[in-house]
Amino acid sequence: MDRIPILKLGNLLLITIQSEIYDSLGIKLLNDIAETLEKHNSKGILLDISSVPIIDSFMGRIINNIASISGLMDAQTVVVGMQPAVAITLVELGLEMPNILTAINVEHGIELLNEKITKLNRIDETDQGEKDTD
Amino acid sequence: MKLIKEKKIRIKNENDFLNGRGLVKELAEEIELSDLVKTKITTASSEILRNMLIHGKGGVIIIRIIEKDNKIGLEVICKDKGVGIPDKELALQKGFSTNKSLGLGLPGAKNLVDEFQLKSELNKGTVVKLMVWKQ
Ligand SMILES: Nc1ncnc2c1ncn2[C@@H]1O[C@H](COP(=O)(O)OP(=O)(O)OP(=O)(O)O)[C@@H](O)[C@H]1O
Ligand SMILES: [Mg+2]
Repeated sequence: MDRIPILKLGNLLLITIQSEIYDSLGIKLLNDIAETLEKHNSKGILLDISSVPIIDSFMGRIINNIASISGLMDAQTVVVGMQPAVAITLVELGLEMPNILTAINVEHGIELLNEKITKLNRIDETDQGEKDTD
Repeated sequence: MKLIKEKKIRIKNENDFLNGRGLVKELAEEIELSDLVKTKITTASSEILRNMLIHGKGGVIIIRIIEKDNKIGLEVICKDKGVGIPDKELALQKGFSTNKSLGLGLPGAKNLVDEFQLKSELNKGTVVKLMVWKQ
């Protein structure tokens, strides 16, 4: 059975989608991410889609769901390396990805996540009451 | 109008869905569509193929390379003998879904291609035609 591997990198998880992705594989990935987040108490997810040639509404929604579920589990998601043609196609398809952070490569993604995580820790320490939960 | 090549696959399960989508991409590459147009027609086909599996209980995809007025194009036809669509205008509106889904497939696919046609008859089936031209 096909499965997309999830790699632990310190307090982050790195997921590189190398094959073409389809519905059942996407659903499995979503479940695996939730389980792995809980197991390792990870604080961030890097979802590298630089070799993914097609993202349709179903896969786009899976990515949105990965970001929302990880958000609920106190982890940030960064989508890495979306191909320009894929990005334009998603916009013309009408799929919105309002809460998705993006980075051009894994290195930038890691930087962005570390920044976010430190910032959130600082907010947690100073004024927990005013945390923006929009 | 001249038919240069035609491929046909039955669509009954996810594996067929992937093969169908893959074949659209392959023929798009064969006529050297730009990366963007290739991505658009493959993504649009993906939406229509999924509709065919979910709402139409499977069907057939026909992919054609066509030449017309010195232009070359790729045509994708998805046909099923499912329940059909009672109100086509409504089904083409963004956000309309009988499935509690996003209702993005039909309007999104329409937006991604140069030519789009939806024919459907209640309890008889649905035919969607997508077409892109090489620049
Ligand atoms: N092949 C088909 N046979 C029967 N009904 C269809 C077919 N394709 C689409 N429909 C109807 O048209 C509606 C709109 O289709 P559309 O693809 O836009 O949205 P969806 O499939 O419900 O959601 P999404 O594609 O965003 O997951 C569907 O909910 C369904 O009622
Ligand atoms: Mg659909």
